[in-house]
Amino acid sequence: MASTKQPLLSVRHLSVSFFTKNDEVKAVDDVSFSIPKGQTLGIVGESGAGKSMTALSLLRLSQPGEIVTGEILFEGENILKKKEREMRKIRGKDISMIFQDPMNSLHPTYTIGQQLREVLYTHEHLNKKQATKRIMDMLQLVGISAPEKRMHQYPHELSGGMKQRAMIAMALLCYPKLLIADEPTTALDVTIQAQILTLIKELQRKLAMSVLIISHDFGVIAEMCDHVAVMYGGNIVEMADVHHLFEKPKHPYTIELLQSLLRKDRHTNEKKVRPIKEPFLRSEENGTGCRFAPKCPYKQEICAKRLPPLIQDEHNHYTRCWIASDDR
Amino acid sequence: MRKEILKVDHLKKYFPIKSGIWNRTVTNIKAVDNISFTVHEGETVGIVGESGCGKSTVARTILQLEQPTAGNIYFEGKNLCLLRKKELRRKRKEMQMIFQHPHSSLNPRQRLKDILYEAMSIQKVVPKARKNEQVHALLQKVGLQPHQQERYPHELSGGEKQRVAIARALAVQPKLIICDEIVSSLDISRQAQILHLLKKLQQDFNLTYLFISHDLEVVRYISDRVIVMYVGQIVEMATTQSLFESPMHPYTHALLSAIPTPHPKAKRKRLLLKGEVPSPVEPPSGCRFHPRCPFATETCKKVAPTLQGTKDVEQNHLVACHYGEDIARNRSSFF
Repeated sequence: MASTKQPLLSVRHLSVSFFTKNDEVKAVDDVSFSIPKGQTLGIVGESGAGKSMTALSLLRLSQPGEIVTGEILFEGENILKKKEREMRKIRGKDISMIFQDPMNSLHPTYTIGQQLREVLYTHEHLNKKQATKRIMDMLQLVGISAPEKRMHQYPHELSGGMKQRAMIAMALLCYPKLLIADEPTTALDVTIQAQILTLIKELQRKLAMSVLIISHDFGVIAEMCDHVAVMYGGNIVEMADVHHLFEKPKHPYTIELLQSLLRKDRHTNEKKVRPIKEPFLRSEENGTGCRFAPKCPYKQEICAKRLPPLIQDEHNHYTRCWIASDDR
Repeated sequence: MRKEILKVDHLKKYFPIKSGIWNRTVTNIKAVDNISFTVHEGETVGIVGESGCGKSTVARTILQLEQPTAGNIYFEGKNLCLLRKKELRRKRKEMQMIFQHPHSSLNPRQRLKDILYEAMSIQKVVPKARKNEQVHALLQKVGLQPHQQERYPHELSGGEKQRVAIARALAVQPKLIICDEIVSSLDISRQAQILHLLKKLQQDFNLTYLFISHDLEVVRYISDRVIVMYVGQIVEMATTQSLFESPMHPYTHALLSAIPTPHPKAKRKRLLLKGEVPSPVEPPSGCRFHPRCPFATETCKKVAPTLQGTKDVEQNHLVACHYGEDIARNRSSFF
């Protein structure tokens, strides 16, 4: 993912853990990636792989998970070193997020207009008239019809797709440099999903935003992203350009994941589905080895003993596997 | 021709909206408006549509969890709407339902064995002496370990809970199982497992499924025939292959083209629908799809199309569109 310019965001060796009385659970373990300006990175993985924790850490919202090590450089500055007061200026302005569950992410007793206005009052010095205009424009932009009416409605009066759009409008209100979208369309119907994805892409082009999309849907990833990172058990196991990843996946987990897609063979009647057996093991159950080793069909002795490093090949294709090679 | 197991005949289900101090019915939500279809023994029929199109209401009305406003439902030739409570309970043994949220459909204070045994004892399917044996067999059938029978639902993952819900449905040895969005809360590899399991169980027990989902790929994978619903009505009904390869209704086209293709190089020519699903309280005049349809004409605004077969395509491909055939014929130039 090398870029000649300095990337907008670069995450280096990020680890996030949950601590219990006498135990540590590593939710995110040594994750590094960067996003150049105007580009889209997708993170895929099953539930529990650490995708959402990674995203929340970028806004320092990972509590109760603690960021143990690593640095997050946003425009060259380490976010983790900032004071809470400075952080609050960044959230919603430079970096904003569309949360996983739009239905429960809006405040039920404030109108849509009030909630959007709060963002503007916090970050921008606008008078009431200007703020109203900005909100109306943004609601229109995300495709909400009759914004002057919707502004005075409460979340429960809107449909799921509308609420999701209102969330997106809120996230975009201050023209963020980085938009984090955590499963932005999981709860929606395909037709609404298509509308929302098209909308995010369009806005990205207009506002030159960088986008981080988290999803478990390879369809969404293939359509939206320039680069893809695959996470498994807290690690990034593979990261590459989207074309490379789909055409020449190298890590056994990615290969298996792509095969488990129902959509794989569109034109044969008998579709091959290969379910992945159990959920992955946490690091502490698996000692120091590769997280995927217990289920890996190509497992060798070294896999159970040492965690492989993330190795880069000539196409900027990173793989965390001892035995990954091009010929598989 | 296989035996007909379920027949839905001109089914309507309206929910009244009441208001004012006399609580008078002001208007109706037309959740299901005049639909008919049949399901044959051993087949899987999928119902797709956006949220709010009446899919779940159809399921609930078939099981008589809701009284239909009009129309009849025949199960193995018997009209369910005319049965008395006692007879209906006996019939329910043969038709089971699996719900969308496994967590809220399992009693949090019962162990798995009690959950399964309760279903069996109500329908008296096994003698008490053989109950443990049967619980073990069921758990194994759905891919759980017999020792898990002592667990409570909260100790299980989403996929495992859904397996328990499937086991409970199987416990009374039903003929028909209605699956309402049963995989939509699971992630993709878990979805594949559950669908796999359903297919296997279908072979083992000669089950018939009515499979409701908003996910077209899931429906495509599991169904023999597919029904597409839009605002309370059926817009297209065909065999899975015919529907996915040569869809005729513009709405079906839009649904299919909205699925993101999991390949970055795939060509995307999308029929993007504008606006939202209309409210079932006041459905649009004529064809209900006309406000969002790119091909709508004056006729569509006035005359509601009927669900009928077409000349060109195979016989049981039914579509409710005035221009279904034209659109199908000139597909390549539109999409």
